[in-house]
Amino acid sequence: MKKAIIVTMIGFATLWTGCSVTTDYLFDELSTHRITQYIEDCDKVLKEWPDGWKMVYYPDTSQYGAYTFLLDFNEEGRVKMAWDGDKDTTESAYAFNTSQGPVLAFTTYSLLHKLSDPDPSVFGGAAGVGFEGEYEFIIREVTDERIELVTRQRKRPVTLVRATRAEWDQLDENREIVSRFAVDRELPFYQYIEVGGQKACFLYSQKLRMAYLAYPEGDRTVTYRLPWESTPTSIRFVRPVTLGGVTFSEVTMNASKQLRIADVPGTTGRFYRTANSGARCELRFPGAVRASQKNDAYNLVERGVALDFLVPPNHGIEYFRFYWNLVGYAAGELYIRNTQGIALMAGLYVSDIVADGIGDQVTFVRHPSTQLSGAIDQELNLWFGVTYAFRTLTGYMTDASGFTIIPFGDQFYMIRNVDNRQWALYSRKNMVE
Amino acid sequence: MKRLKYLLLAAFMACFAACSDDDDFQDSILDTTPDPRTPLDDWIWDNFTNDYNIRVIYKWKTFEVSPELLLVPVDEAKVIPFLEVIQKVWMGPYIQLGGEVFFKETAPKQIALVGSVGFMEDGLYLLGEAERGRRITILGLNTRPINADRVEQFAHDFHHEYTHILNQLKSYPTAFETISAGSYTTAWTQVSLANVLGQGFISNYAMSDATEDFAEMVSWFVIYDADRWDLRLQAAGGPGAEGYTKLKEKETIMLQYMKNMYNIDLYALRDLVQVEIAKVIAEL
Repeated sequence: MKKAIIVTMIGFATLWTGCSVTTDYLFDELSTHRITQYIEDCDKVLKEWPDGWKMVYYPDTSQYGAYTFLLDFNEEGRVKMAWDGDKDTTESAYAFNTSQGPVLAFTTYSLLHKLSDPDPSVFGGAAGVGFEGEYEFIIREVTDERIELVTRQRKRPVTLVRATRAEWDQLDENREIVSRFAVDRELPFYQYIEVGGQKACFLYSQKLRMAYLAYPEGDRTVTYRLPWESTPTSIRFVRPVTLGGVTFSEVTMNASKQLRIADVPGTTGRFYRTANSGARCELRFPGAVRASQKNDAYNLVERGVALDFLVPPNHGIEYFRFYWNLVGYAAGELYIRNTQGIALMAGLYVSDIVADGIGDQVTFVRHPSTQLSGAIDQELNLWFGVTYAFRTLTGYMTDASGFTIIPFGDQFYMIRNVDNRQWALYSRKNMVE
Repeated sequence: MKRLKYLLLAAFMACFAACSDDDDFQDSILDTTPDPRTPLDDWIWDNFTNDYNIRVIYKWKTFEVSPELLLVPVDEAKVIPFLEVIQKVWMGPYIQLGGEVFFKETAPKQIALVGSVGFMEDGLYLLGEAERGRRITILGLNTRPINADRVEQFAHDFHHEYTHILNQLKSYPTAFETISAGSYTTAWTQVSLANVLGQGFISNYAMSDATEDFAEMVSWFVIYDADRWDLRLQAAGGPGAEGYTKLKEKETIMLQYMKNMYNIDLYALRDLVQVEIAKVIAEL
């Protein structure tokens, strides 16, 4: 009994102790109050600046450069957007949430979502991931002049800075500069840039916002992968490049195609292209075929106009995937949409690879076991079998003049030597992460 | 001893009483301010929420829809045109046949709309899903503009998902699952339609599993008119053939299930849906 009383007394003591609350808090308010206040402050800052905000958004610098967005937030949870991609504007909804700290989310479709759209038919990029853009941003720091964000999933930094009225008015000029460097759809290869007397192959994608600069040096190829952003007067690389002893990160071009180094006053350069579609690259890229074989599967992300036959729209083909080195062969896969909205692999082609001595030119030889698989029904099977695989694709792939391979980061260009308008840019297969 | 027990009990109670805080409840510490209402929100309220308690989720909410897929929200301009189609080809016919009480009891409490389709690793993509008898999600609205073909496709998608909801509320007979047991396959995309029909499936997707098989049966039954339905059955080999026989067995179970469980005559529903699809297409 005595024991019970002692135990009971200890119980009482514990309860009394439990009731005494003397905790000192680091902050004066609860975290939920603080986060709500933080969001309100951020919203107020966004709405108060009359000329809106500028976001130079690099979704993934390993594959893409930046698109510049201008955003005007208003009282009703609405945001107007313009960008340097095209003349479209949108008005859509935005909101805040606390799913991962304070988060700014663009909650109905807008220009910004084009970079996230997983459907390649909308804006391009790889199926399932688009341009790897995001539309939910964790708010890291808010001042009157700038708001530091990171994307919610991949934690990539993005900054909103105060825009000016002039920047809204100058978006046409951004687009003009971007288009001056653009690939000529009829003669996309090969472009050269010459600075300080040194020539380099200059690949440029207006869509991917990526430039690629390469020149031979001894028995190797020096390469720069240059994600870029637009300004009203130039394109600005994310990092500097040195060519002919000149280090620069910003180039511009006038309407007469005269190149000027924007951040090194008084320095000019030369920008030119090969004269005809049959010309091969003046530069060589030793080992390019081998380098591209590091990954065995790639999605088609961009292609020249003369390659449209590869993915003919009238048969509902969604995208084309290319396989290197599939048990020693090269192969192509097609994904199509049928009436039930299902995309699936519908064709397979295998061929042997014969690479040249330097390793940046390749020819495909039809392999005896070339085959089809995965066709949906008899009608499509017939079409793929007769028309596509054994005529179109075989004829294209096994042309004796072969292809030039140009590595492009995780991507590579495959350019048909007989006609450099027929090119494809492949991105490492990277579906949903 | 008993007295001591009561004393101890009273003392404990006192302790707990001492712990109670007399402060009044305060306002929620979370921000509960609703989003500003737009004309779109008003339209949804008038047509779906007020009468039928269906919440239409068109604004993106983190983690609400298939978090493993990369998706984008719907374009606001696509919302009303899609919902109007659904009102006519799904909501109207079911209300007319089953009555408002039936509809309110079985309709999904949430309809979520997503702009993009859900691309999946195997090259397939997600167009719709039904969850826990409460929510239907339709994907790919941004890239599927409404036209004559699409009206039928949307009608099919929605009737398919709603059938899942009905099945989640009241299960279909297990006899249905035995008809094609052993023939369901994950490689359903790689089978020709003729082969699929020959094995007693109304579509490729029906071959993926029994629940999809049932939903495909109902949805294609109401989307096809009697002639097209019969054509499919003939393509399955006609009377006496294995495919035809299995499809007829499934049809019988499906008709009985809808009648017995929900008092819905699928023939009558089919007629109403056909009329509405034709009207919607004529108005495009």
